[in-house]
Amino acid sequence: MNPYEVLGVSENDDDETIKRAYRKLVKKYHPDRYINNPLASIASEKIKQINEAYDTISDMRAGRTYRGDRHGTGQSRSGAAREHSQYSAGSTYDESTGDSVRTSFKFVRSLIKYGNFTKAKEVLSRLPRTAEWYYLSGVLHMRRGWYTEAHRSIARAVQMEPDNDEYRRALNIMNENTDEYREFAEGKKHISMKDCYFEDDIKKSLSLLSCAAGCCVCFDCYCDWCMGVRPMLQICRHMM
Amino acid sequence: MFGYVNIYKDELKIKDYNVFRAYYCGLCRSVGKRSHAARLALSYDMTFLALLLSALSDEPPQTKLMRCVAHPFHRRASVVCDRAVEYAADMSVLLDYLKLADDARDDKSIKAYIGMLFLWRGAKRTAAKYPRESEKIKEQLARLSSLEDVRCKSIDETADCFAKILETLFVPEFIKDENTRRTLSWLGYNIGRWIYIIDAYADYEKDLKTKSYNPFICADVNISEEKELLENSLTYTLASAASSFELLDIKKNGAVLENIIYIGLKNKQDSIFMQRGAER
Repeated sequence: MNPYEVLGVSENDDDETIKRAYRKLVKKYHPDRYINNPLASIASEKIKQINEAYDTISDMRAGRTYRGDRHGTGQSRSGAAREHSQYSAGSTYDESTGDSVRTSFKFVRSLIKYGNFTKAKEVLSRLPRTAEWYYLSGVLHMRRGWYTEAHRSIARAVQMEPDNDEYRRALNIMNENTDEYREFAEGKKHISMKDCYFEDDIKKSLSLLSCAAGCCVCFDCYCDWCMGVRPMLQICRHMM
Repeated sequence: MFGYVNIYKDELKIKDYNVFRAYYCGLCRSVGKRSHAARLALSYDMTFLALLLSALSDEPPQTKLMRCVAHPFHRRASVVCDRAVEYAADMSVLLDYLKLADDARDDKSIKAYIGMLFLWRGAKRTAAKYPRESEKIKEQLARLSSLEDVRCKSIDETADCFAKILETLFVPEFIKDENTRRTLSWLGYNIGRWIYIIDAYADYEKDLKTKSYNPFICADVNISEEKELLENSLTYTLASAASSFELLDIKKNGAVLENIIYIGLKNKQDSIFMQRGAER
């Protein structure tokens, strides 16, 4: 695939633009946004593609390769691996303890890692309810999409062991992703709701006016009510 | 379904709005081919499904200007010959019918029986065409009724049934790529979950009066106290839907779909929460 297409830029764009596009994409598919998410592997593939494309472009621009993609791809693979390993090293499990409950928890973790949730749930149900139990059960709920339950369990784990970074991180990421969506949603809007004068009264009076004038220019006349009858009756929903 | 999944018109460009309407019109026509009665129950949620599935193929949408019973004077653009639209129409009829059948069994509602009578022919044909989907919907609706019977306290568990239905609907046979299928099913799950919970939340007062099942009543949560928690959980559901949407390779309709996922849904949620906030 054309590396420029992957990043959504054109060949004539300057380095700064490409860098910006690259950063934006990395942020979009950042592994943190897909933690405890069944789509995590797909997102990391995307990141890999993006890294490869960026590496190829930087190499081409630095004049290091003119013999096609070969060199670039080799380079980028290492780049992608770098990025990837950095993020998959998220688990901070302490392996020094040898006691059986601990190993069972470790077993549950590996089951979750390989996607065997039924078995993980079964093993978990036999274990004592420690902070780690709540955390793991939260992670399991997360993977199934049971977020209310998940949040409750992870919050409980954090409450029981406030100093544990892993639990705190899981809870923070949940909140961060929620806030990020809110921010994103706000960013997609052209006008903030507070500044939207058209929202209420003015919009109504405007369309009333235009209806009365016999020439409907308001957007709402694309509404189902008047689209069909407009040429004859000039009725607008706001008049009713 | 419920029509919670809709565009937020004020933020759409006219050209994108026209795309949305052309799909809506096309869907209505396709549904009409299957069952005229089902046209009355047409919902925006299914338009979203048609837009989304159609966006995954790169053929440009074919539109035609046509009149219809509801709009006899003004010809409107309507999407024709789009398999995503056809599929959404099939699923719309099937889901409407099975939902009515479920209501008829649970509440012995006369209205539901009458509705079934009208939808029966069309639904029988679609059910034969999509045995897997139809089985899955039946199974989950039955699970939902049994959870309602035991007055299930867990909102996650009851929402799971409806979410599973949408999960199935979002992954039609004609989409072959494994990653896309996985992404669509997770997107469907989250949208389904969101629809179920927001609907339960919006109906809280009504269900309290009619003594119908509502997970919030059974869980005995004080919903004004847990409002923030609930809002976060719902927004997180939307965030998951959005993050799976980002993974899809969208070839067209991007602006409309983004408008629905980022603004339409969020706005609907905010307005329902505001309404309830004002009542108190």
